[in-house]
Amino acid sequence: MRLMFVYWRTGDAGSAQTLYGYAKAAEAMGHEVMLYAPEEPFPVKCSLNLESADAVIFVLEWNMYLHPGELPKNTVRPARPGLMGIGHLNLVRLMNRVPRERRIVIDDDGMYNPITSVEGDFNHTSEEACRLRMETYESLSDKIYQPTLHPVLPNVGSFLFHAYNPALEVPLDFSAKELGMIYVGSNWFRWRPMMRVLRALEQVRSCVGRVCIVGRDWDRVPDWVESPLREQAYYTDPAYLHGLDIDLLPPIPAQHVIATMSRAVFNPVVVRPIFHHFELINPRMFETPAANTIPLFGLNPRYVGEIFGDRARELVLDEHAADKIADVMSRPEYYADIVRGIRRHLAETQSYQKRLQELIQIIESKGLVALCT
Amino acid sequence: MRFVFVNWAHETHGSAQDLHNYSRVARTLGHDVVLYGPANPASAFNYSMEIRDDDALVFIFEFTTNLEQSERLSFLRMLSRVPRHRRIVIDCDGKYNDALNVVGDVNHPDAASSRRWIDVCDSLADRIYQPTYRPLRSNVRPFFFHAYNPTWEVPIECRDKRFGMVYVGNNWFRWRALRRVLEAVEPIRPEVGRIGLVGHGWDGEQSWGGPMATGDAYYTDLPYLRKMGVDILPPVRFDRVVPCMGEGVFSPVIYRPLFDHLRLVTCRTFETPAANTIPLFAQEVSFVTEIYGPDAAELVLPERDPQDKVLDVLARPDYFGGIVSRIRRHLAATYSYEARIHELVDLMRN
Repeated sequence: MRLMFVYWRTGDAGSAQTLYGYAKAAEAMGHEVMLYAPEEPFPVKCSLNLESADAVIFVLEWNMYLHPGELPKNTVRPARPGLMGIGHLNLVRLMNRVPRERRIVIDDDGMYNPITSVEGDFNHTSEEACRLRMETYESLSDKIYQPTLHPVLPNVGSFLFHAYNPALEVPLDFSAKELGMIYVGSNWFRWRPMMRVLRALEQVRSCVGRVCIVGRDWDRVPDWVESPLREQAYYTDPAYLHGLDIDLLPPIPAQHVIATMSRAVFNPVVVRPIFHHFELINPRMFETPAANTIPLFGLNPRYVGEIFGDRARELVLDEHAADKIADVMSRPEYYADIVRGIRRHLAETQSYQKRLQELIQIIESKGLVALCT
Repeated sequence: MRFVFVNWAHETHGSAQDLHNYSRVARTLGHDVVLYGPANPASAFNYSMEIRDDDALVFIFEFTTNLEQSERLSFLRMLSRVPRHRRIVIDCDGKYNDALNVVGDVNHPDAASSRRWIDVCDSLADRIYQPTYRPLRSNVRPFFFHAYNPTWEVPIECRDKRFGMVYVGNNWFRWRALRRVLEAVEPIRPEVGRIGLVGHGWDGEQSWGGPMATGDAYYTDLPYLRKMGVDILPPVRFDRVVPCMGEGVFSPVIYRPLFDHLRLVTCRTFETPAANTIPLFAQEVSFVTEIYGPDAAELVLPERDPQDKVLDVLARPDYFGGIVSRIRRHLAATYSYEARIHELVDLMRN
């Protein structure tokens, strides 16, 4: 089968690594994965040739029009018009060539939901924006899926989309760690969940060692973003971070994420409040267990158990989070054994091969399918 | 019937005049014409983003169709709402053709661009129209989107004009055509009086119309214009075009070479005869008479001794004014917005 994805062609976009995982898995399984996009250098082949496409999968996120970030400040970004940068006229061609039942929407950020606000995070800025976004998805397809086991709306299917790649696993070895904790990820609505981790860390700060946060917008609120989104999505407290002696480091290329996470004894796994509310999966959730580190989940235990297996609940940061952090620091080998179990579980249940089979099932179905993930 | 026109309109070029007039005239005929886009009280256009299942979608494609500021997901909304049989494409600039190069004027930078354009148009509709009697491709039909409005007409009165000649229009590949007119004027320059050139790009400004693969789009010869004593004036909004042309005893009607080749008409085709001026046509006689009727042959700038024609117009404006009156009657009967709207309704019902 030849599958074409519509997604940003920038290496640090959220799902770029996921698409690369699909491309590799497809190659091994006798399928082909491409991006529907003007031809340009990118790890996944780009093409505008729709002739032999069996399906088009739209991977849609908060920002469908302009991918922020990736270039240095004051650099003029090459224009990427139209949906996810494919060009508005190319979208016309796609809509004509690919029948509706062969188009699938992956609603990566839970935008196809009623307007929802959780702990200062939200999926839409207004009712009107919500209506327009949902209308857009419905214009594209009847097959709308979200990477959660529990979609809210009855016309949305569950498809986790992101996957685990055992080939990325780094052997667990805690004999010579330079850092106690590292978090790799940008701010973007994550201040509150990060704050919960830091409050716990604060109580046991002296036994953790060096702590780093790697990513965008932790050191200052970006002035190029308009208010009120600037304050809502990028709130940070650099003075507090400084007081906790946390090193803030710039973002790194996606291919260095696992190696960077591996520098520390443990990595918190935190998601935006709205992701937590909708129990959405993101790529980092599957990357962290592959790194040479202990993932500590700032998520609810049921959510963690469903995805990572029952033993993973032991790695949840609950009301005794400070004790958990101290315990991880003092006996990492014990927790490493749990991580090995998580890895086995993910390799069996959340691999790219499995995801691809599910995707093909979705493509070939007449309506929404209930996957047995 | 409700028509939704799709065009990324600018008030100082493209089909601005037509978009405004269709909307106004449709109302008098019991129809509705809106321009797709967010409402803008400061604009002269009747914008709406509402799309209904029974709307007729008219894609008016010009060079702006490719521009990136186009409304992002409009096509998506339109295509999912309005069935294919209620959509038509009007290809105003002759881009629904193979890649053509007519003395430096091009419709596409290369063959791939042509194929892509054709593919986009075919993706939107089965019915493709061009404003020419002679489409090159067999699946294209003529539809004269641009039209004539008798209410624009200003009585011809050629005394006490500020200018001998005025041309109102942007450069955009028109240098060669303008140069030919100016060369006709050159031997009799003192008799013509003041010459005005109103529009973008004649002074060598480079970026007003976006990038173009060939330099011919922006080519101009400022020293020559200075030598000829031509006043270069800024562009005017579409509703100032007819009064502005009326400031000259005569106004040349010039097209891009590509448009001459494809015999495409533009909004200016119909605006010039309505102004208080004598139009002087720089096209082939057969093309001119096909559009304006047989009387217009006398207003064609001849290949030989064109300066004699200019002198004659300057000397006998009342005589040539009589010809313009007959042209106006012909255009009013044949190319009115009313006629065009009836035609559009028939197209959609068929």
